[in-house]
Amino acid sequence: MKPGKFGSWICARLPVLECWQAAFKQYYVAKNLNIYYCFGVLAIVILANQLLTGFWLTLFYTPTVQEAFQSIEIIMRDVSFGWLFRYMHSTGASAFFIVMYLHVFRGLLYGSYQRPRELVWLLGMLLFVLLIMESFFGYLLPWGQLSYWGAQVITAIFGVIPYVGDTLVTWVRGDFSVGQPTLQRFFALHVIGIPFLLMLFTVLHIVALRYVGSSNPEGIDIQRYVDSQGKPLDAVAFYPYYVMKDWLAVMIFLLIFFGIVFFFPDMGGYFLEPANSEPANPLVTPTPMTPLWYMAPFYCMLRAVPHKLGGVLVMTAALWILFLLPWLDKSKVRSMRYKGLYSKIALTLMVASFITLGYLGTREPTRVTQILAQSATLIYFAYFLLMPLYSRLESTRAVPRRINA
Amino acid sequence: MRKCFRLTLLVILVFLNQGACALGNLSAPHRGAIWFMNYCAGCHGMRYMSWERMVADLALSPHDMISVNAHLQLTMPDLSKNWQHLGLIETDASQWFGKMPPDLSTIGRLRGHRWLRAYLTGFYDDPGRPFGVSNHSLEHVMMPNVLAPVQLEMTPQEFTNMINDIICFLEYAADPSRLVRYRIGLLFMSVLAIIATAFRWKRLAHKN
Repeated sequence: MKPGKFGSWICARLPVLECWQAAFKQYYVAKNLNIYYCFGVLAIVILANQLLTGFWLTLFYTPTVQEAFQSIEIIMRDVSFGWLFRYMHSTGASAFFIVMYLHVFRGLLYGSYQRPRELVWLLGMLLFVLLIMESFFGYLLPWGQLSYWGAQVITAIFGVIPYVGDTLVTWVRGDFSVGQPTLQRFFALHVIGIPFLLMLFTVLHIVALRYVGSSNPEGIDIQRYVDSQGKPLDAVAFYPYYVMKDWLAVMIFLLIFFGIVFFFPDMGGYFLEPANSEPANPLVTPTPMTPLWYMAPFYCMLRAVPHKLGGVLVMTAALWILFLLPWLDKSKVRSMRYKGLYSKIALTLMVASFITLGYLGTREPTRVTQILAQSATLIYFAYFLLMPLYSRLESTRAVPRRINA
Repeated sequence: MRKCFRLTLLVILVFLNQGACALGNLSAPHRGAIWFMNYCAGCHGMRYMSWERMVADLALSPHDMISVNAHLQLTMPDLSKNWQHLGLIETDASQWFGKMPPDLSTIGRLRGHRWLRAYLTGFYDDPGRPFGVSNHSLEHVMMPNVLAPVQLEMTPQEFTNMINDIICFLEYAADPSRLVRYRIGLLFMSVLAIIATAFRWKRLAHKN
């Protein structure tokens, strides 16, 4: 399609065509990408949704202790389609984590973090941490009971650091306990600070991926066999093939997403918690005190360790150990399809333990569930810490040279 | 095949989110609003609901607001102008009940229909309490059993229907969009499904 007059004027001044060629028409991707490979584009769609609906919400939201809760009720009741944007934003937050967890799982399954994609993985992990921070800051904004007390509990975590802990807690909160200064700075961080970083690192994440090329479920390096023009033999152009595939994935996702938004936005109390439907009361702690479902695995680990500082260290380590994954995996092959039995068992156990921790994190602890949570935490860490051992010792299958999709 | 899957998913989602009332049900919250105004609004406020919105959504008239029980002989202030003063004032509430009766705007979301039903039907005689009653769902509650006189004049089925209506109203008050998002949702998703299917056909035709 040749650009018209206006198009030519732009193309003479911006490298639009060159970017289009490099990023879409002449970006070659393995022809065997499966459903796990669509969660990246879904994450971009959800990020766009959060930015747009979030911006819209800031037009009506008031970040003061006296009016925050009321402004959200006004959005839900009196603003035209306010309920739609609010539900899109809250469902989008949970959808973001579902998509992101599946996206990371794809990475674990197919060894996408291995050389030469370590930086893609690191940037992705950074995005994960930023997303957790973004959701935490955003959760205070409705100023409900769980919002207030959740912020109170999590900011108190900094207090375990020796010597500087208490000063740090006061500094983060802006006051001795969560209040107006906290709400205001969390609002600024949620609306400007973190989204800016999210957008920046998303761009870097995609650029880093495009630079080294996408992997595939077989873990085969498609650049090894190229034709006379340098096009990989086992690849297809991103446009039109994967644009079409992603488009279908986006359509199916939107159907499920809007099904939830219109018919079941609170998802049985997991996406929008009932206990947050009353304004914050500093004198009354809600029972039970549970985090949102997507933070539940890490919260469960924090709670499983009886020692305060130990719990914080374990929870933090659970997050940061993911960064080390490219250097923990000593396997000769990338994809789980060709890895040995140990890796398959380890990954299955890790996913099972993560889901168990997530479930237990939303429940009140008992003696039995505490033991279960501690075991699940050990299994989770074993996946990472034993990986240099079992990934090297196991017998892997020979990886084919070409993709026979 | 995929369309069937989507349709099934939709049906399941709709079915799962009934609460006490089907989404889009107007008559139950309408009756519930009248019960609420006659028996609850004397003590409980509803600060986040707007009068105009409620009257428009539930097709209420000022006459509805005081027509439930001829024996009550209520002369209520013009609620369109005095809505924000619904319920008790703080000083009276503290003197008579020890604390302010909670605002019921979001109680439908906060407690859910099961708890509300258990609460409204869970009063029992307890001579030790200031108003002679306690409640299975909320021990040491200071609320008297306001619906006890009404219950005596009704059959059990009528009373159950009244409780249902009140709960439907409270669910509506907690989330007024329940009345409309059902219809808008069906329309929106039909359009989306058509676009997705049409696109798929176009893609298949293109391939061939």
